[in-house]
Amino acid sequence: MSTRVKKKIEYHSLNVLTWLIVALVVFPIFWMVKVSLHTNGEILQGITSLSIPRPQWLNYKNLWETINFGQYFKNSLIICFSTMVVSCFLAILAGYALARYKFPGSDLFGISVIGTQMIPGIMFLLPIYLLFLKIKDLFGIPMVDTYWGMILVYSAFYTPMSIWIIRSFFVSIPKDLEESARIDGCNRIQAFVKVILPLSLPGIIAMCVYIFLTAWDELMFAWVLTTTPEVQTIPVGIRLFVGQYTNRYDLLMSAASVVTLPVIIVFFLSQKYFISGMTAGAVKG
Amino acid sequence: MSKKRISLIMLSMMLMVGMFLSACGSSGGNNGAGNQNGGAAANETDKNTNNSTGDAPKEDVTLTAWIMPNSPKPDKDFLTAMKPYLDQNPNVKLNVTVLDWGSAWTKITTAATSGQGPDILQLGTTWVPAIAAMNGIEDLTDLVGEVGGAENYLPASWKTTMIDGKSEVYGVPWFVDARALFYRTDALAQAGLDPATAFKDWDTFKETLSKLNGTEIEGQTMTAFGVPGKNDWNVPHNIFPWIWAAGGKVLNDDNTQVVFNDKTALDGVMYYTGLANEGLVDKASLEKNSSQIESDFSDGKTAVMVSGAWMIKNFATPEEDGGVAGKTAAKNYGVAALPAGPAGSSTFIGGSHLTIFKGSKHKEAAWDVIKFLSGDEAQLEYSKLSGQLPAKKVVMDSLKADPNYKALVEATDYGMSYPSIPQWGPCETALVKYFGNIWDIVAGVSGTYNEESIQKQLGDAANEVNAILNQ
Amino acid sequence: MEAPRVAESPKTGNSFGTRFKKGFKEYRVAYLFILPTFLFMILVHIFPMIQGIVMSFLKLNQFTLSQYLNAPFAGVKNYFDLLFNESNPVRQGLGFALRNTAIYSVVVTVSVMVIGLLVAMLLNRDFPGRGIARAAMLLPWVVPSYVVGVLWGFMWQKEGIINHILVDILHVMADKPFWLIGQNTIWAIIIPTVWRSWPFIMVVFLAGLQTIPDDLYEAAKIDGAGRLRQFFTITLPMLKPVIAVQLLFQIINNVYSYNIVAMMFGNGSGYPGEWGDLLMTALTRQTFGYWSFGVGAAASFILMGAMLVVVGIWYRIFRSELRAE
Repeated sequence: MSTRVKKKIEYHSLNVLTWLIVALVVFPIFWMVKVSLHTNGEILQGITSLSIPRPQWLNYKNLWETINFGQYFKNSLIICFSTMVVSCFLAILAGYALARYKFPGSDLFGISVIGTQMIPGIMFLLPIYLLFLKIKDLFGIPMVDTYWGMILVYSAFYTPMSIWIIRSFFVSIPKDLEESARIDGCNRIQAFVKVILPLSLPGIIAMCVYIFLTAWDELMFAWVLTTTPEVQTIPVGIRLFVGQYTNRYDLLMSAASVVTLPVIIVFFLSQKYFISGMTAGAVKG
Repeated sequence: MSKKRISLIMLSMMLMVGMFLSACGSSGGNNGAGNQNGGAAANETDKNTNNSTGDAPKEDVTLTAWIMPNSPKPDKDFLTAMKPYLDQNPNVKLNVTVLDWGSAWTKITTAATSGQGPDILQLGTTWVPAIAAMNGIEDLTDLVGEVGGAENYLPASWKTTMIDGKSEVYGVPWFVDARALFYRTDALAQAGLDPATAFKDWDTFKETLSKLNGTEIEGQTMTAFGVPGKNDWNVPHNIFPWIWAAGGKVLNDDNTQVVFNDKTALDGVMYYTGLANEGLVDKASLEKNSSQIESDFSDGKTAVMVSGAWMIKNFATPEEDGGVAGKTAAKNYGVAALPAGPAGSSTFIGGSHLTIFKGSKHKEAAWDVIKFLSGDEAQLEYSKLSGQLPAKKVVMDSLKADPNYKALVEATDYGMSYPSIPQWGPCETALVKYFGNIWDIVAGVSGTYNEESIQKQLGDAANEVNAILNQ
Repeated sequence: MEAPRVAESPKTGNSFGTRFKKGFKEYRVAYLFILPTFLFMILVHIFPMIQGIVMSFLKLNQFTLSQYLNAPFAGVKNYFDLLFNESNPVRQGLGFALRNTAIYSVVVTVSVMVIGLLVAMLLNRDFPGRGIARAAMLLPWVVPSYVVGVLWGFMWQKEGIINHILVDILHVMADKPFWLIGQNTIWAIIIPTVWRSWPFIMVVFLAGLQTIPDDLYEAAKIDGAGRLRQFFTITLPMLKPVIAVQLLFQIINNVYSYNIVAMMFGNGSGYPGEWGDLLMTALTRQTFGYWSFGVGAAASFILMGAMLVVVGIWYRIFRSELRAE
């Protein structure tokens, strides 16, 4: 009897704790959206209540008029999506190679893949910029301020970590499945496409979310490698915007909401796959 | 898969690697005669011959201009100011890219290194010598006569178009950033103070502030003085006027040695920071930046602040256009020069210059645009649009009809600027750091506030700046 | 791995060349698969890194920048100044950054792992609304880091909402403290980072927890093991591979953290203060603020070396966890 009561109390208090944490975690995001719906005057007076008396949708209109967010959005989407596709492709190939073959140099390759993450971005910012100019000189292909230049850099940046993520998924798929497919007459590639890929789909989705969000977040290289609004990404747009309106927190928070909310919506739609994807693959590290 | 295909792959791999190696070799090897920066260097000898200007260019040109966020809608305002020119010269197309002060250095540095950049480049006054030394911008010495040359501009502003000790001119002043005191006339009246004498010198200033402290207007209690602290982009600009007024200087006369850590300079810093330490400044303001201080003033939280011409425009702009015309402060403010210290009055003169990027392929057209922007009408127009003080003296004087502008324009007579040396950028980076530490001490979050602790920060700053000067 | 073992054939005096040739034949698919990544790495990582290393031996400042790799050779001076020259202001500035980065990385990494694990265990139960709670907790991870900087910078203000909650509502503190200046700065950058990073770790741990077979716990219960002992004898060991990889990701992310701090203090141009400056903000200032590209590159390279040592230690500790099968 007493243990049942104890269990019940425990169950409910843990639930309360859980929802408390949820509230704490979501609060800053709520606050961001809330502040974006106030006038600058109200913000400067200090906001302490949770209600929004007169939502200022005008802030969003102003925002849209002052900065061409549509264009930044489009650029970010194109660059991040292409990066996702390219990185995903490369990581699947390399991850599979690392998971299934212990070839001479595989350890070295695996470690240098991690090693690339140790190079501080600031160290090769200038060299990459100059390299891009060099490529244009040598081959006549413009790289700075182009979509493909950004996609190239980002793909190279995010492939290494993705390799490690996807590798663990491949490792967790039993080899027998593949072998039985080959006995059924598939060649290696077919076995890979027909057996391995479908099984690791959740992992691939998880990896794609990871790549997309990381690319969506990159600021330093986008800042230097793009110069015109036709190519600049959202982080650059936000940075320019912050630089111009250091004190207009109404506009700043609207801008912050505008960049965050779409991602949250997409995330909510895909989180089922993402979480189950992670659940399937994280075991083997 | 056959052997052939593998060797093909190997071959292409080797080719790729070879390509990178050769790219490495050439970027390291023949840079002196190279196409980007080297080319610019080679141009040095005959730079003046290739940009002799004639009539407005007739063939189609697309110019790129990099500007800073000088106004709330920087690119639109710039294009509005340029409209008469673009209408007259339909062959010229103008692309405007807006950078922001915080991160513009990264972009300008990479552009100057590679020679790939805009045609027209707006530079802060303190940046011109550095970018000139980087060989990033054109020498305009032979051209500036066409816009009137030195006598048309404020000496403190013109000085910064050149490198100290040299005669080459690298830019044309576009607008001027000058600071003055903004005060609440109603608060002064309530405290029984006369604006004409209240801000005369350091003693009266402090007295005025103590009387203003705690004034209540419309039920709101005011702190006397609004001062931004460390989290600001103006940290050195806020402090140096007080050092200058105390008789201190930044560097010695031949720019080889720091002197801003001597006793007179310390007096200036102690006076200014002392105002905050004595409770005449709300310590909460010490974590704010300039624009937050400006909002505090507009909101009636402070009675006095240091600001510039853009605030006059802001007070005249209605709320729906992003201004603060509706506030009580907007109808009850006045402008006065900074109080005179032991060595007289002083204020900081900054602003921006227009320069021509060295790698530009349209230097003549770019100069034509700069000439247009230096014309009286364009100067006035852009000043109105951006709320910045025009750089040309005639145009500046024409604003004097408004008493607030008058005080501001008169304050520019005492204008000072930093030494115009290529190393100033790094020096300022160092100053931002140590002056920031000083504000931390004043705010009471790091050590005790006294002459020794402040002197120590100035000494550390001096060491670092000396090291930069002598590198 | 079955197939490779066959190929790793006889250790009979075959020369490396023939072994490699044979290996290459056997593993051509593997080599083909890593080839594109390999090329990308050379182009975007290795090649620029070599230039970076060259830069670190040059006297590369604003006067010599336009010569780039032809700038005057400085030998090991940049390295010497950074490591041994105590009067060098650069070194002093990096000292603070190093200390802060150490505190920041350790505190963030540990907090993220601990919070992530505890909340994952909290969520690994059945309760109404579990799916919503799980998704909601993941939200901070979706907020871009530059937005995190701006948002928290706003909330940390002295008259901001955090002080309001702490002082006016909860009465945890008597006076409203400064968060954006002085020593508190380190918390002002740690907390947002933790806020943004832990959800991801949480999901990974949650995934790990769900794969631990229940019968392990049942067996432990029969043996009379308490909850705490179950945690230390079953949960932790079973999660070790996950912890290993996440630990590495966290260390790397935190040591190279830049966006949040840069956006919180002056949009990248300000000085975050003696307690807010991190290695990345300091190196960026060194490179693009002081224009001493050589010193910046040298510092980057030292950091890289140090981090490789850290990774080496990590690899030694967790080696057994990382084996493919």
